[in-house]
Amino acid sequence: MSEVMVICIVDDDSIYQYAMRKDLQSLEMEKELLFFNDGEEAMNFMTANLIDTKSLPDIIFLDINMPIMDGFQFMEHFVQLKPRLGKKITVYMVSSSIDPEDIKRAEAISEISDYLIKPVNLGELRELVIKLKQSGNS
Amino acid sequence: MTAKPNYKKYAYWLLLLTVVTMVASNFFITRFYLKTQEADARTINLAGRQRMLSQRIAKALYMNSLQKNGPSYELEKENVKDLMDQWKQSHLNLMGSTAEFSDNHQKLDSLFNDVDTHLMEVVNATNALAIDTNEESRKTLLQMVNHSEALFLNGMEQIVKEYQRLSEKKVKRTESVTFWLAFLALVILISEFLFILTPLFKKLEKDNRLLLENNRRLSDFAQIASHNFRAPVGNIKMLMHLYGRTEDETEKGILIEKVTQSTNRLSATMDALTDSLKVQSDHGQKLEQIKFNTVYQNVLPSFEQWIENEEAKITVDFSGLPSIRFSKIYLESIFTNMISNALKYKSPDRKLELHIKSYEKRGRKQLVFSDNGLGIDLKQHGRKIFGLNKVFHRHPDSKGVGLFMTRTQIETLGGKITVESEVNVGTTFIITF
Repeated sequence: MSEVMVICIVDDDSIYQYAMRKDLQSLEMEKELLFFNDGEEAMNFMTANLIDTKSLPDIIFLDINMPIMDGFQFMEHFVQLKPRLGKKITVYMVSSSIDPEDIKRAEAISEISDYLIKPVNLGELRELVIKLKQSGNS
Repeated sequence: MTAKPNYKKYAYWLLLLTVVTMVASNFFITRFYLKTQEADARTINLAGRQRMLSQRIAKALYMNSLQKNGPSYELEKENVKDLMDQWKQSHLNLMGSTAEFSDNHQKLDSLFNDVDTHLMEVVNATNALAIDTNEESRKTLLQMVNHSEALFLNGMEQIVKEYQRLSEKKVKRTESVTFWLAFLALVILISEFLFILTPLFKKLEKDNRLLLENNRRLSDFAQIASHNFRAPVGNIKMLMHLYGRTEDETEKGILIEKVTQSTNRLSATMDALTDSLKVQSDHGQKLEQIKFNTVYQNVLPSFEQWIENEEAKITVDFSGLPSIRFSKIYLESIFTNMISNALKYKSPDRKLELHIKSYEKRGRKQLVFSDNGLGIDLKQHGRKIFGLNKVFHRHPDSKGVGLFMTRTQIETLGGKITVESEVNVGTTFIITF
């Protein structure tokens, strides 16, 4: 894992984006934050930087309900893209939906590490990032 | 509408009563006719026995005359006497059952009168034979017996024939009664089916559909409430967490501003849900015959500036179905939502063309809004398109309330809304009343 941790948030909720930015900025590590308003924006970025391991995210926090391309559509593209990616990317699905159908669908996708229900505990999110950082370093 | 439930309530009992009456009457009528036929058969048997007895008497007398004073003469005499008694008794029985055999028994009576005379002749002659010893007069008496017995048998033959005829007539009547009963039962059953059961089933089916619809709406509502409240509440929670951590006054100001935004969103969601609840429980909505064109002209002014800016073209054709029985407020709201949606999600590559049309096709009344806008990927969003706060385009005014309200208004009044769309070609909303 490179020195700089790239954290990516894909969510159309600007307030959520703001809170995440504020919180993650205070993490004491070398990091870069990426924000996208929907799946399509994020996917465009990924395809443009397929082998640019520096720019590609290490971890993605992905919302489900977004305009244009929602979280599940994004994952369909992501699964296809994965073999060509120059980096291992961890994906967490983050949604306020407690629809069992959504949760089942997310669980069926092996590329999704976990399903987090909003409101997320900011402390918990930090833990996830820190743990990933540590496992990458060791 | 008010008298119907009462009638439905009794319809069930009426049906039950009809079936029970039919089964019971069938049973009793069959039983009655079987009994009659049994009695008839008995009478005809009696007549047969009667003839047999008379022949036995004749035979016994004949034997008697052969034996004269032989050893068994006294015995045969007793035998003849016995047979005579039986014969007379049997004849009385037969006459007795004639009245119950048929109401119309004049012919039988006159036949019996004839037969009676001959019977009496036989009886008298036989009695005379018992005491007469003169050879010549005995011969004459025997001939008399023979002659009268032949007449008697002849008469009985006619009586049996008459019995047969009457009995057959009864069978025919039974057949026709049974036929008409079956016919009547069939008519009753068919009309029960047509006028009671079918409407009842239809009503049940409709109720069931309504229940399923309500269930789906409730489940949608729960999902919507959960999802749309969780998001802003979650945001507020996160913002307050950050607020507690920060010392910076400007930062705190921004956070409070964001909390206010989230609160506003929460309250907007709440308003939308309250509105939809109001629509759903608003059974008292006044239904009236409304002209589509009137509604269109009513809502158009609020879009005039927008239409002009976009150089949009809206065409209408209400000739196929000029008016509909619906709530005026809802219909205006539907037109407003549909027109503003079309304007909002027009394609940037071309000027908006929106065509509004109403018509009646195979008994179904429909209102159609079709545009050449951005379109929606229905494969991806089909399930969610009419949900609350579902937005499918990056548009600053997308709130995802319009279609949700439109659907609620239509479904509450028993209608249906469906969508056909192709990305970058356009969208067609079809409302079926």
